[in-house]
Amino acid sequence: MKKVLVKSILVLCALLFLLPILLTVLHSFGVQSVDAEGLRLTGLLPSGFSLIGYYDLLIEHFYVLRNFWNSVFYAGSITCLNIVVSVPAAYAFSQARFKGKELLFFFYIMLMMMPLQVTLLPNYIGLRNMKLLDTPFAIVLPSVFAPFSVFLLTQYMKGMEQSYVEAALLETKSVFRIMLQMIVPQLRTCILAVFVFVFAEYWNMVEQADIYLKRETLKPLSGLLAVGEGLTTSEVLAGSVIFMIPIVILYLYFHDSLEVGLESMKL
Amino acid sequence: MKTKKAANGILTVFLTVMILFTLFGDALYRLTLPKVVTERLIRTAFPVTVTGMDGTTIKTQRIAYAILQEALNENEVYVLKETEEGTFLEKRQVKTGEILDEWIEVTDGLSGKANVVIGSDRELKDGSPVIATEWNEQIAVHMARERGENNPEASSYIRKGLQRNVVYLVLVTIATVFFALLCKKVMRKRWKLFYMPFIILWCVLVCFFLKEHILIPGEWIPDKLIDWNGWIENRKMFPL
Repeated sequence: MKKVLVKSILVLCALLFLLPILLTVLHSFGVQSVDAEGLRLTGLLPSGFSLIGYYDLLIEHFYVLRNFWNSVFYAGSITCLNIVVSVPAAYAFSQARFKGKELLFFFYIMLMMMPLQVTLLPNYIGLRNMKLLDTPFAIVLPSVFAPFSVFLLTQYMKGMEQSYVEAALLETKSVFRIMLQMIVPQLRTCILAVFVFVFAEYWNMVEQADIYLKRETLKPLSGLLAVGEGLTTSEVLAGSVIFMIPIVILYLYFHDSLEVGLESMKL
Repeated sequence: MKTKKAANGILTVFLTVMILFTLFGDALYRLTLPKVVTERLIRTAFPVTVTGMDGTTIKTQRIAYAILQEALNENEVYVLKETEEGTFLEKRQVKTGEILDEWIEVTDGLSGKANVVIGSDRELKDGSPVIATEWNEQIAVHMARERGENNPEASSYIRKGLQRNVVYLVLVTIATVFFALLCKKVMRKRWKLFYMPFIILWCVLVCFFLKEHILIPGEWIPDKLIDWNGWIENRKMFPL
């Protein structure tokens, strides 16, 4: 009896967490799902079935797809470049010995803790001086050097057996060779976990696109859906469902690596 | 393993759909828009008989604006309105005067620069987006049906066009099966990975290439392609 009660409560909590997503998906297939002012859903379940929202979004406002591919480009390129930059940085923080290493790592953690709004203005000034505003580089460059993945990978590498590195040092003095051929294969699950985190974070970015980009043709889909300019509520709901799918696919591919990676990081 | 298979399936379908809509969204949108034929107002001469005070009559002419009678529907006409977002219809009330053959005088309601709709391939609505085009058999068929007439040549065109569609469909199906077998032969173990998106993309590319020859009567296209509630009312089968 107690088990049934606990399970029921847990299922209810899970449903509560899932409720916004379920409502979004259901009402994206609904007819007249919102009131005349477009502020409230007309009911928990939609009345009738229609693909009007998807038709309007994908066919009448087909230019929205250009923003979708912008999102794919930004999230994909930022994630890949971020990992390329973070792995050597994390290796240096975990294996190298130099003066000020702890202080530098402390600054990394401080930077990671800062909210995005604090760094928006300095980034904006820097990008303006480099004349990169209103270009894709304005979104990609500041995000590539984000410290979150460096922190995660450093924590993971600190937990690795040092005997492997010492054995590798007997074979070769090349740091890059040790990193690429010995360390990186062991980091596979952690790198995949970092990939998922970073991709999800930059897939959902809104503020950076709003501040650094002016042209609508360069903005990602997240920014367009957040503002909803020129789109009806049914189109925004349909767009939200389409926007969710890549993240769901990513989770389906990498969920086991995510779990193993998070466990191994010992955060 | 099952999760990865599900993810593979969802990714394949999702990417294919997004690529298709990205490549052909414009063409699909244009397909759903009504096609209209327009004519500008003309300045034509209407005969006038003037009777003098002495009783003599003089036949002369007066110049006035006129439109084709087909454009008029109970003193209302549709006019094209060009905007940044596209071409839209605007309904206007007009006052008419004399009739001369197929032309009717317009005394009020239209300016000389107005582009008046004289024919379309389906029913029109005020404010709807349209595409201006040349006269074609589809428009002729719709106009004839509206007048309650039977246009045998245009009907024959539609019937032959639909038969041609069936031939194209059969050819594309045979070619698709052949392409799939070729994929299987060449790629062996990994053919399933490339099969689905390539087949779908290839089919649509072939159809896109043939789209100039694929006939879809305007009346087959409802106001909204996927409005199930209005599907039955809007979709009309063309009688063969």
